[in-house]
Amino acid sequence: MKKRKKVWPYKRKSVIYIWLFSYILILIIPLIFAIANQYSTRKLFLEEVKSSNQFILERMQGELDYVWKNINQVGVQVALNPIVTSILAKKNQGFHFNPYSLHQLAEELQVYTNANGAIEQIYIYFKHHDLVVSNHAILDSDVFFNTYYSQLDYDQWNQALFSQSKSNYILFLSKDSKYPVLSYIFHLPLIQKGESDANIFITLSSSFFDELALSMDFLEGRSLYIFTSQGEVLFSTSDTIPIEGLIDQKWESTDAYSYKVGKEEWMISKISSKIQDWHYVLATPTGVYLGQLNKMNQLFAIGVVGVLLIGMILTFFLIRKNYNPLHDLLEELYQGMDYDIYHTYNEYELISQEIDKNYKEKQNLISQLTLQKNIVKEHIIERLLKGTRKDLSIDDQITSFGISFISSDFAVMSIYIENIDQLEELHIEISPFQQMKLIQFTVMNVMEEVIGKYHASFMTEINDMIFCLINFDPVRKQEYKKDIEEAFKEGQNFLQEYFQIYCTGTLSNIHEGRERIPTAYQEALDTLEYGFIVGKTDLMYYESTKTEEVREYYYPMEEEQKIINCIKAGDNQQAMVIIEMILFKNHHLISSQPLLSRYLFFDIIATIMKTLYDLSLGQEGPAIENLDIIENFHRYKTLLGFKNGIQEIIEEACEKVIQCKNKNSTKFSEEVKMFVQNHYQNEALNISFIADQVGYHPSYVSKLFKEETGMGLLDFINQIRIEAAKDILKGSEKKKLEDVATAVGYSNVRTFMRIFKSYEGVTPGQYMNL
Amino acid sequence: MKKGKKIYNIVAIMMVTMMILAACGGGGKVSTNESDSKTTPSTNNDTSKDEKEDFSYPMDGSVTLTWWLQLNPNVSATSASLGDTPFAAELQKQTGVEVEYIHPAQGSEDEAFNLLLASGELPDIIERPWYNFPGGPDKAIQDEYIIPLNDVIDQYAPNLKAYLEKEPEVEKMIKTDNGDFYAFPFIRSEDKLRVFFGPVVRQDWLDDLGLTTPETIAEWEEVLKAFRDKKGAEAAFSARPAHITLSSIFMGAYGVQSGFYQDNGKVKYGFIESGYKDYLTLLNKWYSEGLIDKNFATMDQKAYEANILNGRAGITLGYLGSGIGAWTSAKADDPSYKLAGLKYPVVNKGETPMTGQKSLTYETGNATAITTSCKNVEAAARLLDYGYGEAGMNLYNFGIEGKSFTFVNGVPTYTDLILKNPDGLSIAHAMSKYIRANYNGPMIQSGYYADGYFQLDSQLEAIQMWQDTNADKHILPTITPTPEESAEMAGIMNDIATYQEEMMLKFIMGVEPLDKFEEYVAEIKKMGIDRALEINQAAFERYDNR
Repeated sequence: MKKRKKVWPYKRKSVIYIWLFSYILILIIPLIFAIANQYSTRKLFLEEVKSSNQFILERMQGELDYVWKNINQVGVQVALNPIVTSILAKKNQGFHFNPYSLHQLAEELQVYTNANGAIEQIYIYFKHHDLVVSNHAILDSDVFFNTYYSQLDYDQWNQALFSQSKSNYILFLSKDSKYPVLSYIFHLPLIQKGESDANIFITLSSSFFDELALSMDFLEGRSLYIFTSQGEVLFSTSDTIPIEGLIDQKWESTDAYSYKVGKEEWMISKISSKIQDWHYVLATPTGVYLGQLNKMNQLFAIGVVGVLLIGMILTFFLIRKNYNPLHDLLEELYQGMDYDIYHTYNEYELISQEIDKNYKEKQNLISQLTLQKNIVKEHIIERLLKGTRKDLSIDDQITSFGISFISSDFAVMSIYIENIDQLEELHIEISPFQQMKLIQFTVMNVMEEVIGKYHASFMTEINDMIFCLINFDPVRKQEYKKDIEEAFKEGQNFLQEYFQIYCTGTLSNIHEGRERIPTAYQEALDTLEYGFIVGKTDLMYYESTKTEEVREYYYPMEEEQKIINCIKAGDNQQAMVIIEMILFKNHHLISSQPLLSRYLFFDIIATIMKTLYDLSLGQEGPAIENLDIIENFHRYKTLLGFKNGIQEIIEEACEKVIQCKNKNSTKFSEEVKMFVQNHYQNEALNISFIADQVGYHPSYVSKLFKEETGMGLLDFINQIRIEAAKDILKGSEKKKLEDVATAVGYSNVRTFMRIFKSYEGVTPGQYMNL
Repeated sequence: MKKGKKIYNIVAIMMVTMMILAACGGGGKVSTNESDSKTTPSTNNDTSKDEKEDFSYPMDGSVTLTWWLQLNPNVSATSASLGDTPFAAELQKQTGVEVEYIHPAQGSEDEAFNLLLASGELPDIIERPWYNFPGGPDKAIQDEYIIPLNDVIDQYAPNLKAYLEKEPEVEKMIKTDNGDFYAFPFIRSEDKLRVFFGPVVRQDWLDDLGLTTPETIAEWEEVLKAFRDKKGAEAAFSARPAHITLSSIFMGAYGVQSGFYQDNGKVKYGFIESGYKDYLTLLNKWYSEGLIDKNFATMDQKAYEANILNGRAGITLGYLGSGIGAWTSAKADDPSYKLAGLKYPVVNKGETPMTGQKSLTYETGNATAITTSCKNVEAAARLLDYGYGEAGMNLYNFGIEGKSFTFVNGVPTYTDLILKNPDGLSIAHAMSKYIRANYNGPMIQSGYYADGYFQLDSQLEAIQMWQDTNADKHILPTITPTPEESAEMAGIMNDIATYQEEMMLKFIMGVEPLDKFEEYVAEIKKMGIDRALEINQAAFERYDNR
């Protein structure tokens, strides 16, 4: 159970910040929404205020306009009053009116006044008589003014009596009140144009507006203003808002607007009277009404803060909770991580990098495995071809590497790349080794494919040569050879065309059974060798090498004796002449039957060996090992090579013979012995090495040694080495044979073993266990 | 750890839920400003309480009553409504009843009253001349506009009850023939309170012109002529028609009185008597000579006052207080301005004027009735009874102790706030802010009021002069015809009154020649004045027998 780490390692660039940002963003979204909501609520509220203002104004407009209309009607009715008319008719000054009629007129005016609560007084001024008839009294203008309107400006009032103005109302300035006294005016006679004979004044009751304001109990903190279109104030319920803020607007527009007076904000709505050119303005203190809204806003703000807090807390805990698994993951990574990298990338990036890395490693491993698998597979094929003794384990390996045979018909083909040296020059960017591998790989792939059209093929590479184990599909039994031939041709052409690779091949016979594979392999090899000797064609068949079977070669004993004598005499030239003659006589054999020619070569070498052996019996004889010669024999791939090799040997032998004839001391051999004893451990120690040291030709050295000691030099060297090895082997600890071999100067452990056995009769391993 | 996580989650969810609820609640918490509406006082509906012995003023203040009454001109000079006066505030404070005063438009009280009745929405209390109600106060009760107050007074008006027990004559006055009390009366408890109106002259003009105080009609005419010629008075004699009728001035000289009066037990109608013709002849003469205001018929209070103040008139009719008193103080900065009372003129020197203004102890002036719409009769009665008790009398007569009056040797005496008002108000106007004694109300008018009110010599002298009449002999008491008779009377008198008024003006103005007088009388007789006289006679006899 993993314990949750409480400590957070600080990480500069971390996904935590991304998460934090995301959570906060989520928190903010509803917050923004709610705030927007609040604003729209406020806006809506103000709209409500506006519309309720408008409603009030409309109501007022209705009520007031009704009053104005009424007054207008009263004016008209008074104008049409018969008594008025009859008075008007009398235009000459000084006329004595029927006082009772005047009284009656006054009574009638009183009736109108009673009927209309807004009217305080109706009076008619008859210009020609300086007579004022009102519902209160009948007087001349001065007395009338002094009695009823002493608070007004006399001049203005007096002028008004004679007024001709088109306007149907007059505002009298009053000393008592800041608001003017409103008086409607009608010119009599109504239809007369030009100067009027009398004016009717209908004075509005001074408390009319106040009573109006009182009656409007819905005013509630609002302020009401009534203006004429000239901006004169008829009435206002308060002074808070300066007049400029109210009249400096277009009267036609009915939009409400907000107006600020210091800290107070007002919503101003207006409406115009339909009867008079007056305007009603209503100002609502939005602050009062907003007060409620603001309280709500405050509550809301508190709520928001609370929600944010909770959100933050939740965010913190959630991030913590969500980060822990990530952190655990990361824990495993950052232990060995570079500090800078750790902080440069965020968690996901780091993990992703790790995964990438692992994936690449895995890929690597897989490809390596595949490669090795191929190598092992090739090795198995090689073993199949060569036919090792321990065949039993191969079966398991075969199946585990997916090698399955579709029949028991097998053949082996070898492919030799002729122009490999030229190809290597083409691509100098890669190493020669890689190049060779690449070329081989290309050839193997192509051939596998072309053969694989009908049959199974398994490629391998032995000693830098490509071999192909072909397992035939029994369906095509009749076509086996043809198929291979065609396939090879196709492959060869393809490689030639696209890769400039020229290769040749050899093909063994078709054998049945897995155990015959080695035979096929050998056949292919033989054919290949044959090819080397006789020259190659594209695809050489083993069976073709079997043609013209000659079963003997020319090497008579007399010639052999001649050669022996020449060598013994030291006459290498003559010996070579004879050998060349022999070779010439056998040339047709050499070209067509490599095996037989090889026997011939061996025969010739045997002759030389025997001669040399004879020579070595005496100690003066050159000490050249038989085995060396046979070993070197493998090097002679071609006729020319053979010739050169033989020549070399003969020359050496002859030289020694001559030398030996000249020398008979043993001093030389003592020196040599000393040297050997000091340097036997050196792998490089051999006859040549000694020869270099003493300055003689190696063959001479060995001959001389043999003459002096009667033993071959090589023999001597080996003796010393083996003796030393025996000492080591006798030791108690377990030793590796290679180490022993190296210790005594054999580079090749097999050589060591062979020589040891030849001297001691047992292998060093066996000797060790004795 | 899993547990811990669980707790986290639960806590988180809870907190989120709480916040949501709070937000909703917060929204809901917004209450409109209108919620603090004016609470209408709940009326105390238990009118029949038996524990009246425990009653004391002030009451608990939970009751509001509406009170409809004329707005007296003296009050309206300073206040738009009686409710605005300190008097009303003090009354409310002392009685514990909140009163909402309703005033009809000045000058059209009758029409307003008719409209009020027609509307059907009666206030709790109506104060007006109930005697003038068509059909009389009995009809008003019968028509269920007002309630009979017999039980009410008995139960809830101990002050009035006590007073009436002391003054049985007054009780006779304020009852109907049926024996019903119908209103809380305005009682002039003393004689000197009953005379307060009469002729007023520019004494300084008399002095200037070296004229003696006129006593006879002829002397009056001389004086008026002198005023007209030498003082440029366009309206040497200026009086409102109502005043003329009220005082029966000049009529008395010819042995008649305006309206119905009694002469040796016989009810007469002055406007058809022969003496009236003489009266009309006189006035017509004076009118045509320009001694009377040409437009005397159309004169409101303002104009009428302006005349005497501005020198358009030399002789007028006025009240002691709001006339002589107010005018004198209005002209305080003109020391030459002097007013004086005049005796009612007679034909022959030395005669006592037949009549003059003399109010009855209780007359057909305003009386305060409780309507059938009143839901709290006890409270109304208690409120109206207050003016008859000692505390109430002090308030109604003198106002607020320490402010408008103080006790000087036990006598309530007006302070300078009243007598020498710092804002320059006349005594009458100042008084009207604190008391009601100078006009009327449900109260007993105190003699000290007169003493306190009338400080001027001119006033005191005027009282003497105006009292010198035989008015007592001729003034009809408040007789009440039966409802049926009332209705009949109303029908008859409506037309007659209208005609009579019209003709009076026409005769005086000369629009109608005086030789049409007989026709005029015949017309009135045609209208049924005899029947009216009959009815009144019967009522008069009934009154005697109350």
